[in-house]
Amino acid sequence: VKADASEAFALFYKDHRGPVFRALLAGTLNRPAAEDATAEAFARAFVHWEAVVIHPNPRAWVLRVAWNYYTSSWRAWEGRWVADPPAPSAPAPELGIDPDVVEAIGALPRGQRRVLVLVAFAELTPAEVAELLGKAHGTVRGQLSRARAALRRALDDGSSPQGPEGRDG
Amino acid sequence: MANQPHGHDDPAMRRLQRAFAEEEPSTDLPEVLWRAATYLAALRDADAQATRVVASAAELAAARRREPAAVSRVYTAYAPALFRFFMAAVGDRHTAEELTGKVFTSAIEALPGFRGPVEALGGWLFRIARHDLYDHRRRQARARMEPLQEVLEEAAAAAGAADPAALALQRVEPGWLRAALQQLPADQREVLLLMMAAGLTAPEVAGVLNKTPGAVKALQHRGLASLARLLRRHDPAKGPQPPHPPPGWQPSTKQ
Repeated sequence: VKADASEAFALFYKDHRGPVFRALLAGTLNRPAAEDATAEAFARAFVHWEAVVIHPNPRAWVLRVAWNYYTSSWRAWEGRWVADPPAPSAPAPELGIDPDVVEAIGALPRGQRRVLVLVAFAELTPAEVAELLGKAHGTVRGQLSRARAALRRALDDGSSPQGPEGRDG
Repeated sequence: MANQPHGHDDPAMRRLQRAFAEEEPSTDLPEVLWRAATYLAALRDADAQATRVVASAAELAAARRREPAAVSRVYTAYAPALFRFFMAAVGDRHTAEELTGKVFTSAIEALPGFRGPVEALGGWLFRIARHDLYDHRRRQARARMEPLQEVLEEAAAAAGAADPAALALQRVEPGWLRAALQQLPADQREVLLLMMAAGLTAPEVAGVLNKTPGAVKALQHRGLASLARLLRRHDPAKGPQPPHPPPGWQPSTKQ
């Protein structure tokens, strides 16, 4: 049984590490913080494995832990350095990620960005995100649609071959 | 409507997803397990803290006046963690006991001058401990590296035998752990030892080392990342190690 638990955790880590990390990376735009929070959250999942396996949405469990950890240990700390005017240049070159995308999500209010990345990368539904964040579904849906509208404005800017709406039947 | 996948009809969403599609965390499973051990140590410490009833300012005041009951309360509250710290650092039970005792001798002398709140007492004691440890090392003619795996096992044993943190520590190969810890820069090694062997929390380590909690976390992070790198280098033939559960590992919840 114990061997199974450990094996199950290894599989769980393999399956969920990517989505969790991508959500954290896009949500924080801080690679070390995303690495740290992801590792910490999975470490805690290992410790609390018995609770995690029976959780209706284990990935959401990990994400909540990761986000709380990031907020309490990284963002609180970042705050001290960011007390001055925000740096004009986005940290895109360090991230090695499409700088337009980084700029677009970096410009979103934190709450909207968080909802957006949880849907886009962690593949949670808005209802699951609302559950995870302890917010009303309507609030989350509103944040999500504002975030997506802002993203479309920032990234599509009329040059998309599919047109601004980008819907193909 | 809740189960409909989101973003697949939206080019901006797709571009967002594509931009991050290749991203994977660099943390491998062994590092996660290491962190689990660290986290358990912190949990254990939180438990200890709850029972460390040096509760009231009145009691601290009594200890300052060197009232025996209050002093012995302080002693029983902090001695185990101090002992684990010294065990991990010097690897010799006798010396560790001696050093632990010495901290309290110094502390009792210095307590009347301690001006901080009750919560700062632990950090203050560990600063004394660290000072005593350096003193001890200076006195030793040769600064020889102790076999750290044995040290940590002993330390874990001292902390209370069959606890999962101890077992999680044991899952790492002895030779590897010793070599890896030796290769870490001193500041990273110190942070890891204080957290994992002495069971201190990050803010406490920060107090002891006179650093910010952020700096401690950064050192912890770098230390663990280095350990993970060293682990990968340790056995390239086998590639990433499959997880092997420690004998008798149990989830932390009871039953």
